[in-house]
Amino acid sequence: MRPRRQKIIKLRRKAETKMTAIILVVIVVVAIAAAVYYLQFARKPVKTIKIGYVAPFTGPAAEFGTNGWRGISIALEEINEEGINIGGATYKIEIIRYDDRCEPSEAAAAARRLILEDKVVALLGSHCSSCCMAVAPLCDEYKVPGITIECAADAVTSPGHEYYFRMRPSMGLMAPLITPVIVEKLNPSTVAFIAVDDDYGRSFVESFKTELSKSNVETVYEAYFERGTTDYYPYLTSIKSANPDICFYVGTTPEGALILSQARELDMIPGIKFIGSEEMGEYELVKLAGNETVEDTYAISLWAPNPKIEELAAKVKEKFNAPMHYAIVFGYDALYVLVEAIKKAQSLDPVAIKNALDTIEYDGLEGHIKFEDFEVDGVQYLNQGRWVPYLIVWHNGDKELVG
Amino acid sequence: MTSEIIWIQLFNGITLGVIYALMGMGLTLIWSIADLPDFSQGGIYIISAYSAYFAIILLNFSYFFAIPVAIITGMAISVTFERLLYTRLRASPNAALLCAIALFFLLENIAVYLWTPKAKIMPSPTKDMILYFAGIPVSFQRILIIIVGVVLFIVINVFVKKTKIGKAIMATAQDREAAALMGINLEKVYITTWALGGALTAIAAALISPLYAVYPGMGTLPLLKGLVVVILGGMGSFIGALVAGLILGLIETFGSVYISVAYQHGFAFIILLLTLVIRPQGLFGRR
Repeated sequence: MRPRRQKIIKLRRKAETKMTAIILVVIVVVAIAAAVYYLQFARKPVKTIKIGYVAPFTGPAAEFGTNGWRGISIALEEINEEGINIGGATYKIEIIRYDDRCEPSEAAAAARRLILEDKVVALLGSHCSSCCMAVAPLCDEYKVPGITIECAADAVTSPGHEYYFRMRPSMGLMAPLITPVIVEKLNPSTVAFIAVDDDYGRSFVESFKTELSKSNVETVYEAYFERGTTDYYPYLTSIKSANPDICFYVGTTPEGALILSQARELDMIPGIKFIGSEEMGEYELVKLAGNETVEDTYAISLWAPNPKIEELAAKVKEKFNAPMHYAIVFGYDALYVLVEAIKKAQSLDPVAIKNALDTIEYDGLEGHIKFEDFEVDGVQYLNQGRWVPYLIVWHNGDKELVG
Repeated sequence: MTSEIIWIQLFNGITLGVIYALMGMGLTLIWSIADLPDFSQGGIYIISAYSAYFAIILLNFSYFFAIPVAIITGMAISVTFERLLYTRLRASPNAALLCAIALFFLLENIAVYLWTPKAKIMPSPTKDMILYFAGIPVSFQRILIIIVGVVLFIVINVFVKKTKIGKAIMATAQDREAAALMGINLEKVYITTWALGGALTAIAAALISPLYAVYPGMGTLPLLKGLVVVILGGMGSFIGALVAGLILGLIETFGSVYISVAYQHGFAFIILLLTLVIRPQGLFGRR
């Protein structure tokens, strides 16, 4: 027994020394690698500008955050290729992004973390209006400028926050901006509305009804449906007998697709010009309803095809194999506007960047971006953009600009 | 309102009525045999609609081959539930009813979990074929629904009146013990009943899906209206289910245009209450 045990101990010791040797070798190799890495990069330090991005990457609104990030990351690549010149030194952008899952509390926590821990000079995001309402006051509190990607609620910029900016026209601004275009291009004298029965649907109809009545367009039918309704025949037959020139339909894309296909069944298109809310200007509608169903129907859209957007769409296709989406355009524009402001400020001081944003003018893909303080119908806006949304028509499964 | 609108409503009402009648026929069959309002048929409606949808989207089936896929799915689930659960709960009808309700919610939530709550649109060649009758546009899908509904009504009637197993089902519905004493194989009757019920539910789902959408919440209203049809038409009566289905469909479509679209789904339950008060045995039911 004894000699055998001694043999085992000996073997064990041998194994231990072998292990020590391996660990030593690994330590030496890592040390050399670290030294080489340090010498390599310490010589040419890369100056970075940290920008934060708060968005829903998971949860119910994940689609918007994912698309926003697609736009931002394409812009980021383009910008970093050249670098940004501030006071003679070249900087690169670094984006730190956190998921808010479309939850205001998560958005606020993410914004705090970006400002206090990551020390970003500016914020992008979020996408959900409730999250933007949580982020905006923090921008004022810490004096760090923020730009929302796509929040639609009026309250985000009305009364507004000094350090929070919005490029796209808000819900309440859509009707005043686009109605003159619709009246000019389609020349209607009667209008019908079919809208989803929630705050969004009702305020949409209310604001368009008011604006259209200013141009003497008479509302002949107005009805609201429950979310997720599938049988639109009762609504559509009433619209058919009221026979308006244009008909607004407001809801999500599955609802829109059903409305259009049942309207086709009733042979109402193209006799009545159907105009969809913003979602109906996205390719998701065509995917659901099919080319023939959407042919010759209209939509209010936050982006219209132009050469620059087609270039971006090609990049999106190549890089992410995804269709174009308005959040991609908004994300892309948001980073460019912010970088323009940083260049203009020639400083990494958040307050200086905010001051630059106040006066910036930038030709974005979505429209001419300028943050203004103004009043519409007695409502005061602060740091709000007001480019005119687009009226598009579907042809062969593609968007065409009407006006 | 022009007469065109009335004709359109009439067609829509008949289409909806046939769908409710199909649901009702399946439910009334099971109800009269097993004394059970089988809520799980609502879940089977959902799953068979999805199975037809995926047969078209993933397997590139044409719409007409997707219908048999839905029928097989519906029958399979229905018979499985009967064999695994309802057989064991025959002694306690209340437990069976609770079980059926639970299965409905279970299937609905499985659909949410697996395929998200987002609505899917089923492509179908028959939906885009619009025919005109004296200027009234009607899609071929709606005509197909009406034809299939009438054919199925005749087939089911012939089946229960002429075939041996059909007669056995009718006998069991009248008196279970007597039927068993006469040497009728009750197990066979139960399996056939649930298979038929599942098939009728699946056909209803597969026929209406191209017109509406496929989504997890799609089963609730057809299920509830199917139950209203059974009560209005009278327990165990196929002609009752057909007539009640058509009445319901027409009242719904005309009511929602001429009274208010807000009450579209309310009419069914007003009818239910009136039936229970005025004629509890239903239009064609025996006391």
